[in-house]
Amino acid sequence: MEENEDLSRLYAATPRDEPPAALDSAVWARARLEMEPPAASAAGPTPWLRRLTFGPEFALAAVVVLSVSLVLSVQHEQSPPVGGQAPQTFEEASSAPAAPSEAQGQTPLTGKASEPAPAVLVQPRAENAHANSHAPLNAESFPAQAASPGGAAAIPGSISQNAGVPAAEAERRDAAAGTSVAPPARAAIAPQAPLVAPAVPPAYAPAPPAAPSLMRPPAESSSRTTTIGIRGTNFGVQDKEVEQKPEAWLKQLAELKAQGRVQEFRAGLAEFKKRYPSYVVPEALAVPE
Amino acid sequence: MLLYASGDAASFERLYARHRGGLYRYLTRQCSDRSAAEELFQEVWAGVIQSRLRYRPEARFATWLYTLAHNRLVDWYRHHGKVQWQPLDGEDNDHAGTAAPAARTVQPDVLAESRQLAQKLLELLAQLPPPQREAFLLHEEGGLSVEDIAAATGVAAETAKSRLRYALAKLRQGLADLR
Repeated sequence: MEENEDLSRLYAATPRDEPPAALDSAVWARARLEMEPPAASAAGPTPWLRRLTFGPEFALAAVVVLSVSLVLSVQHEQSPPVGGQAPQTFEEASSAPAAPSEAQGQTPLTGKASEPAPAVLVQPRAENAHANSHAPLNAESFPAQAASPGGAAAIPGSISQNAGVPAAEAERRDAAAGTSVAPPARAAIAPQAPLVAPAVPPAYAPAPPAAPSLMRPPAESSSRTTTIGIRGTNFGVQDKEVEQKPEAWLKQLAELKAQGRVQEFRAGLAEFKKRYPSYVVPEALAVPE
Repeated sequence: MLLYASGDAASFERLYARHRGGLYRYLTRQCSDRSAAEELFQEVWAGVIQSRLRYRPEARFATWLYTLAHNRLVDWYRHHGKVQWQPLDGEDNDHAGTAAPAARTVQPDVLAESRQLAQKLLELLAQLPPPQREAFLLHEEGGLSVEDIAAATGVAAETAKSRLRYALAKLRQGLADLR
């Protein structure tokens, strides 16, 4: 055993190699890393967030459903009303939805349009800013259109605010805004028609009794109408609530009469009777001679 | 090790400081490739770190540590085909009472003072068969007893004892030849 101890001392005198510092650092780093909590060392989301992670199939299905819903919603908003109380008037008949392209190529003047007093009122709806932006379709532009025998074919540049905009483009934009105006309506406006362009929204269009059919029925709101050429005309009906309630409509007519606005009163009353033929109009609202 | 397993990081540093040198020399003197030895060094400590929760104090920590090192080393030898890690003929049958290689008594004090002898000792150590060299290194670097060497290397205690005796005898013989 003593020999072994001597040999051990000799071996202890041999160079004592030590691991390099880099090796020590690597081992210590490994030890520290293993000592950290697993949640802290994990690079992924927290457990509750991982539970909320959806599979790719579910995400794809959700995207498809949302897309279809969005498309259907947009189509539903853009589609014309089905049914409803819209009266079948001459305007609607002459401005059938299938007719616009055909009507654009024709001279839209009709017998009525050549009549001297198809007064046209254009009152842009106050709440419809987009309709207001199309000023040429309002009262100021109609005389210019009517002055041309060719209808919309020749529009003087001095009057049209959208003189540089093709009629088709304007109609397209209108259609997009839900305020389209059919070409026959422009032709239906008499060249010499005295136009009234009230600045105040409640203004009433002076329409002669002889041509009430040119006016858009109250039920046709400007937001989704294909009625001939008069946009925003509502014959004293200021909103849909009044428009859909005869009593409120008659009340407004009575106010017009009381204010001495006979022309407006007559036009409105005629439209009212047309809209509600079976409704008994009070004698107080009888048309003055 | 139990303290480290319970979350005491400082206990690992104490363990590492105590055994880092011996393990490093054990590996570098068993494996001629120093870079491979350093890689094995990291792997052994990584095994210690990963196995800390499974550690059971059934043996000394040094025994367990050098068991991991032995297994890594054997794998490395097998993978690189360096040597056949097989017992030498007759070594397993060599019991404590049987004759060991003849060795002449040397003067330890004189030899210890000589760097030349120390370097010669390392050369002789490198010439030993790997199992015998391992037994010597485990004894000298790890401080393992014959039983611990047997446990670490997976052999019988008598085999470990025989290996160690053969290693010591050959080293003494080589040093005596210098004189």
